[in-house]
Amino acid sequence: MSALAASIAAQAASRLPAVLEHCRSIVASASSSPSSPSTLVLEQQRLGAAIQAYFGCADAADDRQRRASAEAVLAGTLADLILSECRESLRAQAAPAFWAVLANTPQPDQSNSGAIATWLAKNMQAAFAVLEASIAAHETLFEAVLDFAQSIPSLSAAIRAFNVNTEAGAIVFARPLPEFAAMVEQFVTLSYWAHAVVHDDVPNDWHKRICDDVPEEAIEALQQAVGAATAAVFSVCQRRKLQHRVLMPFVLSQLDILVKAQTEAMANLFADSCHEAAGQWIDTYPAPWLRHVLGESDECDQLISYLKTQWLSQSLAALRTTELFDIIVDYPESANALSDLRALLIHPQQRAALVQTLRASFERRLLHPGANTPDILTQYISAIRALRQLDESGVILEQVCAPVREYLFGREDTIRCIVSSLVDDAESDLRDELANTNASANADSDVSDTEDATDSWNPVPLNADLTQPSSLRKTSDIISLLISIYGSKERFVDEYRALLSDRLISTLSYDIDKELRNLELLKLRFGEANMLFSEVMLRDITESKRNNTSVQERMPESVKLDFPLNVIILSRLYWPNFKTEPTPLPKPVEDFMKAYEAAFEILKPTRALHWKHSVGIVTISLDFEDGELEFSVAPAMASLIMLFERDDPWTLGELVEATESSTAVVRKRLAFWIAQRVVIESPADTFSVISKIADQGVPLQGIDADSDEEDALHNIDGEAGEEAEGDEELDVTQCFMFVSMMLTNLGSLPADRMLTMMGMYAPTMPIDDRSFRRFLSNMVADGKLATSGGEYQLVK
Amino acid sequence: MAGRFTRRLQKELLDLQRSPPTGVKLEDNTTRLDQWRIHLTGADGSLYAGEHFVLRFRFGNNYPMEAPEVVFEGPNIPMHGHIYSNGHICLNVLYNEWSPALSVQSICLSLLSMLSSSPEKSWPPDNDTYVRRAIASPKQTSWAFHDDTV
Amino acid sequence: MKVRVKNWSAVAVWRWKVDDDTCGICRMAFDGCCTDCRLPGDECPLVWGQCKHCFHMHCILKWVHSPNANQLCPMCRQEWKF
Repeated sequence: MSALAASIAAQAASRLPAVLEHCRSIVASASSSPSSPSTLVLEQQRLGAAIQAYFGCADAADDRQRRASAEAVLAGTLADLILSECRESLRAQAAPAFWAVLANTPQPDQSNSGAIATWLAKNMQAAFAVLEASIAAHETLFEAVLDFAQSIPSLSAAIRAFNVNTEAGAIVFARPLPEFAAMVEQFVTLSYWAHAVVHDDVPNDWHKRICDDVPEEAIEALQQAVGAATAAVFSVCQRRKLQHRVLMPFVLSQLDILVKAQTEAMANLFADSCHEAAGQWIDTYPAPWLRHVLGESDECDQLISYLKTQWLSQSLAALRTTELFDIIVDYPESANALSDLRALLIHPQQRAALVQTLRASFERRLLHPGANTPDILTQYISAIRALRQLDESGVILEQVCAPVREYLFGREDTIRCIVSSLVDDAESDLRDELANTNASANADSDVSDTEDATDSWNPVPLNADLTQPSSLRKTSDIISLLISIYGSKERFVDEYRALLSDRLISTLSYDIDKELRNLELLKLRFGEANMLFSEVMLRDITESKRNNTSVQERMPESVKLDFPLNVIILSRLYWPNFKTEPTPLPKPVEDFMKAYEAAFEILKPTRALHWKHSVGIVTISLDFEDGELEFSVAPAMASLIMLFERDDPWTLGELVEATESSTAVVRKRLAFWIAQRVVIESPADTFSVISKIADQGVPLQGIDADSDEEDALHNIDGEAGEEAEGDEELDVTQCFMFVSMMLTNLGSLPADRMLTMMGMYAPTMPIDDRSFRRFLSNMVADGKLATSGGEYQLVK
Repeated sequence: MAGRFTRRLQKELLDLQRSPPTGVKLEDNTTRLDQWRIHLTGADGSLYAGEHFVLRFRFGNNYPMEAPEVVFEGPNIPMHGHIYSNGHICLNVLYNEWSPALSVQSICLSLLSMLSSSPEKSWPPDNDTYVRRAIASPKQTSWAFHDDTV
Repeated sequence: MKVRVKNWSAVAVWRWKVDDDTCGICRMAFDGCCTDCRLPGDECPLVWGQCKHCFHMHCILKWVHSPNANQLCPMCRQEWKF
């Protein structure tokens, strides 16, 4: 019975004097009450009780079961005591020794980074050397305990799981110095500096600070000192498995800084391929450093691989995703950036995010009233090309650009913009596209049969099912994509007809060489049958030139005018419908035209002329006391102002009578002259002409005179002419006063909301949606308003 | 067919679809331009009131310089002094009196009025002989327009 | 104020002097052209018969040269004379 106890006592006496001492004292005074409430004392009491129980039952030698159970309790209790002793020893010795090194040397002045670096290197190295020594000592001690425990299997099993490194880490770093985290962070950062400074690739701010504070010749020494210190500290951490407890959070945050800096360095570099460069950079800088800090290990390799394939790639992908709008603007110069992004898009959710981000960019930057339609078109065309490179399935393009297409569909000048960029002189993407013979090949089916003009061209619906192959997504032809915004090419052809009509009628010359060249290109694209009207229109101009010459020769002397009056004679069914507003003209002009008709009928006996005075151009000079103003206006507009030469002022009623027109028509024509500050309405419904140019006052600002002139020239049947009404009368100053009042009080507002409020606050102000939006975009262009997300705000 | 007058036929087709005269209806699924079927409904107050007949028009490449081939088709051939039981019609404007100023619509109206003015329902007297000898197209027949009153 | 005209570009349309809008043969507008032509006007002129009926010249020529025509005006079946 006492043989075991004696054996414990004997072995413990040689290896664990403290434990044995406690055992003895407890056995001796088993009934004495604890002198202190420390855990050790409690453990001692438990041990005492266990030993007593063991000895008690050992007396009853025949009860083996009770004895075995008592032995297990004794072993467990002994194990607890041994481990508590060890922990207590670490807590009492290792921890204070370690922290003392760091705490007892005063930190140098924070502003001297060289001193801090030196101090950090020295003290960290010293502290970790102390730590290493105490852990090593405890390791030795614990190995002795394990030897001792081998004789008692249940004791040995209970303490074998004890790991000195783990326990030491947990205990030493359980209550770190408050400044310890910052110290390690700086130390880790410093280690990257020491590692990378030779390559001049230190995105953290240490490099700069050290360069500022440390004499150049001392830098190398400092770098070596830091290098040696970090090597020492990291090797302790590696040996004692302290990487995760001490270093890892700061290694990761250092990597985060590096990745961010590296990503930032790549911002806007759309011309270079950055993806590959990023991989090389990781191999050159962070990877060797990580191996240095964490040691060669699977974990380290995994971290490097993660850094490469995920961390930096994702960061770069996110960067390029947010930059995609600008990448599209720069396309094709940005082709490399797109290749990068294409390679970096791995996860479906990245694509979804990309679509969402880009859609948002389009909406914020492009799809608002302040953007010009040609700009929207240019960006859309660029997007078609760029997104094809990113994703040839066309799904991203379709998803991103659906709102663009809808928006373009809603803008009334879109068709006109597309058509005019197709045929304009200026170099344009679309014109190149039109001249591109490959692209025109897909119009073949339409070209082949001029007789059977029935259309076999089927548009793909805008909301095409993405799971289905869509011919729209597949088509690589930009013009077809643009046309498909409208579902059919008829509207394009009609718009071209209107545009051509405008151009031909507004040119004073009979020169149509350029239009003839356009016609040939458009025939290839839209088919000869669809362009027939255009052929007739152009022929009308050439024939007019010939006929006009012949007719002019036949004009009697009696009607000759003191200015040239030339006539363009149109084949009416092939041109847009022109308004035939009654327009009394000055008598000499009427006489001339009558004679012209007669002369024409001599030339073409079975045909008659019908005048269209709502179109045509009259160039007039208004001579005032102090100078003259020149205008090019429609005949109707000219004849109106001529009335003021005869009489001044006129009432509205008199003008209606004199012009044989409706009140609305007269008002509209007057509005043009009022907008030009030639005619003044005062009092209401009474109109007079200014007598001096000096009386004009400040010209209307904000409203471009071009549009008024356009309205004055092109009174063609149709919406455009009607909707233009009201534009002339928008008082910019007053309007801006109201808008700034609203925006001052409410911050930012969408255009619709402001328009509604204007309706309530300023019901007398004549304003319509179109002119208001034009006003807003002018204000944005002038820098008075800013717009974002469809809302406007004041620029402070 | 891609004849010169395709456009005239397209125009006639559209007119007939958009505003057909009373009793005349173009078959809904007309897909060919060179052969149409037109449903006639006998005029109220006539012997054929409410009866439905089907006319088949075939247009040659020279239409309208030459008349279309027009016959009644199907189970219900109107019993009429100028219409044979095989559907052939004895009407001069369909043959030697054709004029390009005529049209599908005007022929339909002529036929309706021909039916309306009929005093009795009976086949032409030579029906049996004609039908036995008749060739496929009535346009190959040498017609003798002996009776213009009906 | 005095108004001085410097230049006047007027616009007019031409029409055939004919009562009907369309040609009785091809049903196309007179101010357009017949089904054989692409360009209206001089290239596709109108002709009047002595019966006063008017057609695209190309249309009536085609008709009077066709074996079925018997030289009659399509409208009034009088003998067609230019």
